[in-house]
Amino acid sequence: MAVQYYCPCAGPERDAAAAGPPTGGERRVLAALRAWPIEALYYCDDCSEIRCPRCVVEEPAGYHCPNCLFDVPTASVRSEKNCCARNCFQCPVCTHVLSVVEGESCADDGQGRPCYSLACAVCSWDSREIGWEFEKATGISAQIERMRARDATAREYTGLLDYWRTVQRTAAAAAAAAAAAASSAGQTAPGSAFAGGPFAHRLAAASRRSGTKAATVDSLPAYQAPAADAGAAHRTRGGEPQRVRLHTKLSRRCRTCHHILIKPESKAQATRFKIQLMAVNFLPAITIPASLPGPGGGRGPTKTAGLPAGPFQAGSTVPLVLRFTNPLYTEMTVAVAAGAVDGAQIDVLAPRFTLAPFAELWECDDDDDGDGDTKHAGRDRRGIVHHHGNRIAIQLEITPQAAADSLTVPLRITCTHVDDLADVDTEGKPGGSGPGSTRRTVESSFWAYVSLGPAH
Amino acid sequence: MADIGSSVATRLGLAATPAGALRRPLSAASPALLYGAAAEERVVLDVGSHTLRAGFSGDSAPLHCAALFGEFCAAGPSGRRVGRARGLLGADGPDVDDETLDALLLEQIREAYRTHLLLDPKARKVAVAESPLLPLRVKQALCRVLLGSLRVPLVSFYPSSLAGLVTCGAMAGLVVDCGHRSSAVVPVYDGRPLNAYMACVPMGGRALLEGLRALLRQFAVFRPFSGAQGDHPPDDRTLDEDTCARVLRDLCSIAPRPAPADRAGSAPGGLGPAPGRVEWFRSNCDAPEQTVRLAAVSPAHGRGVLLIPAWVLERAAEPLLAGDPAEDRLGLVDAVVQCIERVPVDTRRHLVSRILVVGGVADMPGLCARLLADLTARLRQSPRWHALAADVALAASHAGQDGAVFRASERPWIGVSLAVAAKIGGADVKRDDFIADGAVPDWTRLAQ
Repeated sequence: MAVQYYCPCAGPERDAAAAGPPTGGERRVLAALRAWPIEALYYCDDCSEIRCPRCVVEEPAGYHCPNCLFDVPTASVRSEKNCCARNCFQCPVCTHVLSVVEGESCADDGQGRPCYSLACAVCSWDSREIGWEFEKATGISAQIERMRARDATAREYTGLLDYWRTVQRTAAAAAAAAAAAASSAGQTAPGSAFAGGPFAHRLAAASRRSGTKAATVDSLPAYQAPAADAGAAHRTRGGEPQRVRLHTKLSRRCRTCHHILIKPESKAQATRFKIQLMAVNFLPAITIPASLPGPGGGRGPTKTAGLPAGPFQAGSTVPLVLRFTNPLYTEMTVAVAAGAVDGAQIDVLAPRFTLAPFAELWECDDDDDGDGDTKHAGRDRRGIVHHHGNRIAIQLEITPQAAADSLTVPLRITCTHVDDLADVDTEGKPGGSGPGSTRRTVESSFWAYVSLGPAH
Repeated sequence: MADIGSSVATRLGLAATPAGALRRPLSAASPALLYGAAAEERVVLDVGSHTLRAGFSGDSAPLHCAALFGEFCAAGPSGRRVGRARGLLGADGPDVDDETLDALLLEQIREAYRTHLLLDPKARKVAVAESPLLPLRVKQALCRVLLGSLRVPLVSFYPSSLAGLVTCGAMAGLVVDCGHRSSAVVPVYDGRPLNAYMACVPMGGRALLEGLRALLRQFAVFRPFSGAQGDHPPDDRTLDEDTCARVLRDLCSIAPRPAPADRAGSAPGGLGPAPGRVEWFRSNCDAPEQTVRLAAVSPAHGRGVLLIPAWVLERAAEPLLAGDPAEDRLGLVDAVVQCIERVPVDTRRHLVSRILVVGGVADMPGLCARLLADLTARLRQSPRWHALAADVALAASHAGQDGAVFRASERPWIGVSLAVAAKIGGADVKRDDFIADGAVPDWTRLAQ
């Protein structure tokens, strides 16, 4: 991306010192973390600041199965192990979704009852290959969970859990008894790795009781593994159909003020957002035009990318055209200042200009007649090479002082618009610019980087 | 006053009246009964140097298991940032600063929450299995990410060596943790990891991968499907990271017998094993077929098949087990012996009778059996340790199955899951405390 926006957050805590652009060598490393395309950024209209994916807080706002689009209530997500409780399974061979098919009657039954299996329509895999047959066509997840509970792994785990709970209870009881007996002894056991666990308790209890060597491991009954069941073969999870994992819709909040930035509709089928505060709806979009209509200046020979390509000669002046687009329905004043670059001098020919409000397309069409006026305006205002609707293209002049393959131009952009406090609706776009005394001036400033040359 | 006292006692469920007795079970019931099983449930993370495992306490297997990446790279036309899987703090990755490390961990842990754990990080406490060799930097970054960025209320750390033993129902043993970057032998006695007596080998999954790549480059043959071109030695792009990792994961095993001592050593110049040793490996290969075929792609010759001698697949882990005397590098068996030397004399017999192998490399078939055999042989050779050799045994609960009930690589995770479910406490770091002073408890620090 040629133009990237810079979010000054430095991870968990917002770093006030990092409000400026990073300098020198650390720029390349940090740019990879803190510079983003504008589409990936959010905008907190409470703080009037950019928020990047790193400085927002995510919360689940609803669960659904990506296969059957069933909206799963939050309470039953964990009890179903984060998977769809209906008949949604993935084929172990090709990961396509399996369907339930009715097969012939179970062999040992003799009653002629149908039995069901899972089959893949793509690769013809059938769950009877691994011995999975079901009595009912519904609630297959529950039937599989019952089957899995008899696994060697699950049995071993349950046995171990019972064992450790017994150890914990015994140790706690012993510790309580010892503490009651010797409450005046203020000694503490040396820190066990499982601090506060059975081991520390037991050690403390034993040392207080006897005053000699601590209890050894043999004083507790050893763990007995559950008897190996010949029927319960060790299952390999790879060869079994997997239940489809649920998806979640996320809402996002500003880390600083907890203002909601993104709130999706909770229904699985809905693709709309109740709240969507994207930076692209608030801040001017900066693009590099591939071509400009009319005899505007500043068009270099590299029209294909719209970017001056390196290598840059020392002393030559490289023109750079940037187009600013106002997404707001109100007028926006933009101030552009260039940051310091090693080995190049940057002149912003139009450091301050005003972007017309965004208008619907048919209103733009009317403006075509006034094209001549805008050209005049462009000639009058130095540095503005094109002006059309809510877009203005300005020209920068870059003078490298040493030959360089690539250049990164940091720009400090401050945009100011008049907002109506009472009129901020949930779409995140300030409403009409009606008259009123409650209007406030919103100023937000940020750094943007324009990367020139083949290295970017 | 007596009335008030008795009513308070009754309300607290302490009175021995019939009404109190009825209430007592309710008041003494665990929160799990009142608020559902989720009240005490925690998220369990195992952040290794190569793999991240995530799931919930009380489950017998992690929900999510993925390779960690240590570098961002741009992908697609929009330059979207994606991770490149090479393990956290990979050798060939750049030397990352703290902010990048935080960003890497945040991205990967958040992804686990987003797509697998499916919950608000604020809602659950987190239990982390930590290896004794987990760099303090990573541990601090983990705290910053979990407590700072994700706002988890509490993080508790459990030593992975002890957690591994918990899955065997034991509190003492010798835990051999074969990780991606290094391997460590940690003695655990009476529920305490004796980190001071730990012995380390700076070799693990990554060294294994590099060793395998060198062997394949030397001994494997690439045969293009277009027969006119003939056989070629495989180039570096054919033997890329993914191919080697696939061979290591799916094809490699460990031969039960070590090479005899007179065949030890490497070829002059340190490139691969010595010719005599190769000859011995080839003639003592137990595989039914002498060559294994694997589909592969070469940029120079197109699609084809990689012909790998079967002995290469059996002997890829030899340097890890036996070390390299020429380069003065210890092997895993040496490290175990070193650890036995270091531990207090009265615990030695107890510890060697419960040897547990955990970690990503431990999933390789035959590793436990070979380690046991080599160790026994080594102890028998020495008059000092001769008496100890008879006691060497594995700790895995189903002896003879190579510990097949739980996967060796998942044991630390399962152990923490068990410990949390059985309400065994770990080293806790509370969010407010960490924000206030930034202190992280660690065994390398004396004052905690």
